[in-house]
Amino acid sequence: MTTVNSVNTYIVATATNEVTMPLQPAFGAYIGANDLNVTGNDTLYTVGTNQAWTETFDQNADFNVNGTITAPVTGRYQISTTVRMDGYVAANTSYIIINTSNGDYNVSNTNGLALINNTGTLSQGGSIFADMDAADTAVVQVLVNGEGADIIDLVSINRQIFFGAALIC
Amino acid sequence: MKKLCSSGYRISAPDKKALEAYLIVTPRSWSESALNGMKNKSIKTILRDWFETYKAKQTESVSADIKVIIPGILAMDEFRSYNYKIPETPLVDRKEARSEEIWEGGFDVEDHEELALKAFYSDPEAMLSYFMENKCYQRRKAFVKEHEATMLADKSVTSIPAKQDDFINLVCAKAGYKNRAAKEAEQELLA
Repeated sequence: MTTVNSVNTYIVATATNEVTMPLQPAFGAYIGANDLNVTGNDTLYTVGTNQAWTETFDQNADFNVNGTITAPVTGRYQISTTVRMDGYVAANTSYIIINTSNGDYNVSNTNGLALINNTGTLSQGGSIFADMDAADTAVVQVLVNGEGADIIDLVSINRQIFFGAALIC
Repeated sequence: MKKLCSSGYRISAPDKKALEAYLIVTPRSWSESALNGMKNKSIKTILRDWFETYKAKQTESVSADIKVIIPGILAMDEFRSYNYKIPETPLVDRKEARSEEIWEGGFDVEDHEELALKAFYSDPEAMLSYFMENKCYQRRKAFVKEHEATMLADKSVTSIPAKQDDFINLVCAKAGYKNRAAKEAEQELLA
């Protein structure tokens, strides 16, 4: 079964009853290469500024590889991210922020130095359910403080820097 | 380079207050982001749907410059514009006049961006106006909903303005009211 409007097929149900929405706004992307020295001295950095995101999928063409998702319609969006940061020496605050037009969501707030593994690495992430108006935007930002200089790197191995969102309702 | 929306866009004082309750950027800056989203969507959709056809018609390699590709695709005989129409614009319940211009001078767009916008949207300028008007509508509605709940729970409140403009003006005039910028500035001082 398919459900169509005058232009497109937007709901598909298979013979075995799985339902997909091939045009529903949804994207997934990752950073494919390291992005060095982006924060550490209270610098707020938008992921994707220096190192473009690589799209895995973008069903409705709403994502820009510089890291901005633009809501095509007013609705509720599930937005998720994970970010791996390396190089902690002295930092005592480490934030991951999903910045939407209507407000910031601080999805991770940690003492980075206390949580790093034995190679100085910390992966943080979070997920939100946000109200977005048509043409609102969302980006992922990181902020680390306490290093005295911007020495923290974003390290992308096995897609450890991920950003995804979908319109839910 | 082309100019878009040079005829401008005006908002009222209550519109501005409702927007500033949620936005950390100016209405113009929000509009620029919205326009960037429109440009991105237009170009990506055209590439997704037509780039393979375009490549198939070339005999050698093709330019990797989007400024060359977009006009090339649009010039193909088989290309059809999307004619993406503006949704029904919500009716904002305004009492006060729309007195403040927020799109002074319009917005600059590259030639290929303008081509892509016009190929995708039936009227790009009207679409951006729709987005701005919808933004005012949604933020005014959210503002009233948020503060109305507080007022209804407050036994000292005996009446509530029926009109959105009056309600927004009343809340924003209260001692201690802070919009998003003021709240965030305060949080930075406390941090």
